[in-house]
Amino acid sequence: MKMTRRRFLQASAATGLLVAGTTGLPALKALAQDENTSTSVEGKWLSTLCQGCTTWCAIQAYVVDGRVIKVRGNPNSKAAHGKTCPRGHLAIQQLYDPDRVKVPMKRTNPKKGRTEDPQFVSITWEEAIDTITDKMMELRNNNEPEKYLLLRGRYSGMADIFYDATTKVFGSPNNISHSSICAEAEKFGPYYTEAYWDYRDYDLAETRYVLLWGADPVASNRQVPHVINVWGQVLDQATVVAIDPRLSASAAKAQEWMPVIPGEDGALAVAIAHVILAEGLWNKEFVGDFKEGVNLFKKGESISEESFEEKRTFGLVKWWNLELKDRTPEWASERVGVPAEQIIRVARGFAKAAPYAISWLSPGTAMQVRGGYSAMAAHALNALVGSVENVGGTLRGSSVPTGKLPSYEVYQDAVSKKGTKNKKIDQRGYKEFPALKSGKSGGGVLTNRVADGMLDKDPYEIKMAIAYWCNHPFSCTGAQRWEKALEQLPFLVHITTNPSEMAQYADIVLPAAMSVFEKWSFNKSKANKIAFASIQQRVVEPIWDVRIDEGEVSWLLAESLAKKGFPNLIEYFKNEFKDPETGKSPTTSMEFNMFALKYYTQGVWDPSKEKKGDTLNGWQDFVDKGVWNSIEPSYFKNWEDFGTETTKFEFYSETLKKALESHAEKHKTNVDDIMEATKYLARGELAFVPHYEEPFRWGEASEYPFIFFEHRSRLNREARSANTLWYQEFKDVDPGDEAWNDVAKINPIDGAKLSIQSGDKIRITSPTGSITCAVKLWEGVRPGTVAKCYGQGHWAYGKVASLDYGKRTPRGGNNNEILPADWERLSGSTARHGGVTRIKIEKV
Amino acid sequence: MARYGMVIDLHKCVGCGACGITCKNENNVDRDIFWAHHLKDTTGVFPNVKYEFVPTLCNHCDDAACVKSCPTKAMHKDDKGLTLHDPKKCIGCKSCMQACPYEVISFNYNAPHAFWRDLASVIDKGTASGQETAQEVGAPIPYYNPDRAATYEGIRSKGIVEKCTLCDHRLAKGEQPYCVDSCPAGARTVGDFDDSASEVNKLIAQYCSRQLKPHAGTKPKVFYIRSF
Amino acid sequence: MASPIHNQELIQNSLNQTDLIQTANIYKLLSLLYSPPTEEFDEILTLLGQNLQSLKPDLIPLVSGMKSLSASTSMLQDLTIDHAKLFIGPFDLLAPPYGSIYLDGQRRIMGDSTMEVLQFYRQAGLNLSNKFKQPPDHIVTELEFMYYLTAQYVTTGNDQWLMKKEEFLNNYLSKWIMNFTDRIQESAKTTFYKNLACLTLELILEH
Repeated sequence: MKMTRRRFLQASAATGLLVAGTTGLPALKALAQDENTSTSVEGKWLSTLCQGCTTWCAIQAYVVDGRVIKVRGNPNSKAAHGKTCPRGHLAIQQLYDPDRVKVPMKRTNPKKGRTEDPQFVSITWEEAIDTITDKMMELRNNNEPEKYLLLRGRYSGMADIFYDATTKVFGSPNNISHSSICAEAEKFGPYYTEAYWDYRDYDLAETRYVLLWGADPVASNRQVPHVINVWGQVLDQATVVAIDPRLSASAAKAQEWMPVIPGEDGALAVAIAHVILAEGLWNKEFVGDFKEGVNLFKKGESISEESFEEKRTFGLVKWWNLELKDRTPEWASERVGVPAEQIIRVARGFAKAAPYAISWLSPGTAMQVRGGYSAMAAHALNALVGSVENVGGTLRGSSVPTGKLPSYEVYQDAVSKKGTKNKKIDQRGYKEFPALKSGKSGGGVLTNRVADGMLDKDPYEIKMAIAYWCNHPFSCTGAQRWEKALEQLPFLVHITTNPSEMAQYADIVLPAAMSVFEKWSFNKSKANKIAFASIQQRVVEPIWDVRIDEGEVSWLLAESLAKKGFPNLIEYFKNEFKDPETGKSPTTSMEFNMFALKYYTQGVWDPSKEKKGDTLNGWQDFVDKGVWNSIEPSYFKNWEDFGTETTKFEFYSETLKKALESHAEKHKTNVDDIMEATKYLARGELAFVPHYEEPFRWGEASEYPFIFFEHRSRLNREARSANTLWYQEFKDVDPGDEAWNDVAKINPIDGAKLSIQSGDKIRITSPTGSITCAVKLWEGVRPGTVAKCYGQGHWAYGKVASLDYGKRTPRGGNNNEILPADWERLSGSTARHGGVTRIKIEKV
Repeated sequence: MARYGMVIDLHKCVGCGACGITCKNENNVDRDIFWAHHLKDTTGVFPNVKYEFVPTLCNHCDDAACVKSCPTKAMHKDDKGLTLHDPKKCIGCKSCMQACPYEVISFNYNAPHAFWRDLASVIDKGTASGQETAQEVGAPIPYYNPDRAATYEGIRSKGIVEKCTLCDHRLAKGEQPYCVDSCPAGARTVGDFDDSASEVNKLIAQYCSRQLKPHAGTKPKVFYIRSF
Repeated sequence: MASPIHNQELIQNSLNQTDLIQTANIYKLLSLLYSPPTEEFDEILTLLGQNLQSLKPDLIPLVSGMKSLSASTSMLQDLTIDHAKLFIGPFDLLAPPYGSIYLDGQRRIMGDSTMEVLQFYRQAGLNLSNKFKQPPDHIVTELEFMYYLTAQYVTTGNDQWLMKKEEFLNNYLSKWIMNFTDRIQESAKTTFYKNLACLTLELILEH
């Protein structure tokens, strides 16, 4: 038991004991010195970007001791008045979601299916990346790189590194964005009238009349905090009309609610146009006038085109003759289910407010099987009252001087060049899928067609896919097709924060940095007449072993591919993404991410670059302030030339005519045949003007008596926030909805017919699927229709979102399992709105 | 002596719920307990339907029934006219809850924040658990707000009540209550009703105002102006 | 110029310096002895004996009793099994080594006191080590914290460390240590852990 003095000192030191006469810090094992403990708890507000919806607001996170405690709007953001909507706060619970994937995992059960436990085991990033690039190299060695698929979900301004360059340098044409599952058809309206394929901005400060076409701007996309902030003032100075089959959050505040029958919006739009013309209320300055000065627009009567002299528009008389002359309010009233007097009152009010009047288009009116023309009609109303790019009207955005992806062409080898020439798996440009984005056949994405392409191996088989921040077996209509397609897919990599539905089919799951607080990137957007770029900053060190999807993962793949004999991608990254401040080439995944970010945003933060907006004093200033604001766009900017075929705002769309004819020509047929193939009823010239189409619905009324339609939640961060406590506790802030529940909202008249009460459990069945959920009898929906919010019904994702994750029991039901997969084919958009399906209801 | 209270402009309010959510955030409030919440009502018959949303919180009544009913003076009025609660004196008898006409006092039936002590993970070693997350972050709840502890228990323990303090810890620093700051509509105004120049007094002079359940006789100090 | 009182304190400190160092060391060594058993236990016990020599010589026989038991490989295995049953699980722990189990009156960890303990560490400029994946109120951690506070007092001479130590001991560690060591006494199969329990109780409550 004796020790020598020398041995005692050695042993004491090794054990961390104190010895008299020596100094040194106490040696700790279970505890550690806390670098962050500066005894005070004074925190810091750090700038970043919210990606709960696509408003993409500049926000700030309050960080104390390396923890995110709070969120607020970025005070430097002019677009959002320094505000954030309730979504911003939910992001905190997403960051600290206990169900987050901590480490890379691989599946050990080869069988895939909803009821199969993947039996994930944790692996290292090295093993994960190595396995993935083995599969990638196999495709290249077999000269079939096109069989690689990249599925992009929620993305940032740096997406093209992963989405475009990585995919194309590797050699696949299949970079598929999620865009068309929640947008695109809406852009069809402004594009084929004024050649603007984008969302519009609105001059709310000056407006006197707002027609909301299914839009619910105080609750959802695309400028929520701005709208909430000014809405009291808008309601004071303007008349707001909400056209929505549901008493939405915005309808609840509006002066008028027009609860149209789902899908009949187009009839209302053309009837409003009819009233405006028949009553001579159009804006003469923008549209022009009859040469004789007498209004010849009379119900049912065609008139001569020569009688009218147009100014900024094209084809008004053609539009009247082809479509509007018979579209009386009485005719529309029968279809849309609102009184003719209300249609007339709204049409007059809207026109009399000209030009300070906004016709605000949204996905609700556009994302219908035959919704492309409704989108055109609703948007064309802006031209009738001259509010296009006018005071108090609709606006385009200013430009934001961010950079573009450097060309990668020289880094593509023969295999990549050959591979990328293949057709895309989403079947864009097929005869029945024109996807006419920006006038080009096959120009747009058909996200939800990919499942069918994969299942049918048409145009060919997909052998591996990398999917990031998307969850198609949950978020796409006809969700079951995705489950089947992913069951068959030989190799799936999913980059995700949560073990979602998609992750259940993955062979490798990679833990993603949570965008808002753990990612370095940027994005740009617009609202309140201000276009902006916002930094997305890693405000806290991640507690889990995550990587940044677009920047870091691309680099890791490139590094590994180089080791296996394909150095092209890493060379592209090293040569083309040097630090703009030092000229240094990146050597690590994070360096690459940061250099690329600085490169992309240099136009914004570099004071020596000329720009129309804020001047920032360099990179750090951008990080600190977090946002760059543009100047306000000038009014009337494109009045001389809208960029359409005729340079005018087109009521008769020569631009659409050209696009349709060129698509028909590609398939050696005519436009009427294309109309038929795309499920449209119009024939002849009607295909070139905004017009009414009878809504297309799945299911016969005899078997499926109710029209089903869905809507968005003001708390949805896409469908991810359903796994947060605050989402569930406050779900009842959506009018008609209930906390911790997923309810189908049914009119009490129908409830009585079906002998069901609020709280009862029902099964909803459409021709393609069936879900169960709770009933809410509510006067805010029309008899004969059933409304249900999107976002609940997760059978995976996490413990809060699901009732029982282990048993795959969802909380409520996912609408996408009863919504059939269908498309607004001219834009490529998924058709999820407008009552695309009928349903039946059984009490269970 | 001052008399702090709130004016809520229902015309500006869009019913988004940010007040209730951020209140939980600021005050480390557990699941199923609400210091700030809402009433909602749908009236009429389709298509003539009206939906109303009324944000609620402690009324900081001048004549607070909770204070009168509290046997230990745990519920008390402070020099700003706020109705505050002292956890050290609270014996958890719930008299205040029964006395309050507004149902804005909550009782901690369980040890708080069980969610962050939960050990279950959905994928063993692949996903985290509540406890693991809290522990990794190093706080009882990962987004625990230490500022709350300046004037109240940071997290109230099992067996006592808790309620809105009108963010007395923020007022003390010259800041607005967090629900006021985080209302994207700017619908909430807080101030001293004893100060004739205060914004709250201007608002109730400008608009016809009303209180919830005035007949309860507690002289509530949350006033609602205009309509939803 | 130093005041007489200050000088007095200095003298007091230097007189106590050796005792304080040994006290700190004892906490550290106890902390180590609650970790999973290794061959190093032999040496740790030797050091413990030496640090007890002037402070609590009466406890040295307990240490000797443990030492003879930890020497051989087969004994190490017995110790490992006993340690696991007492403190690790996976099934019901015989003597859960977490303060909150005893303080919060329910069989659960990460109770209210757990977080108070964590706050206490943070106020002392510490946090949990990333490597030691246990709740803040684990016996190993709390003993190490006592070591740290004593060591800080030795190094800085600042009374606040001594006050913190007293506060932590009175409000947390001493409040559950008796119940905890009782559980070990009841359930341990080896003399090693029975003696360790006895030593711990004596040393914690004596101070």
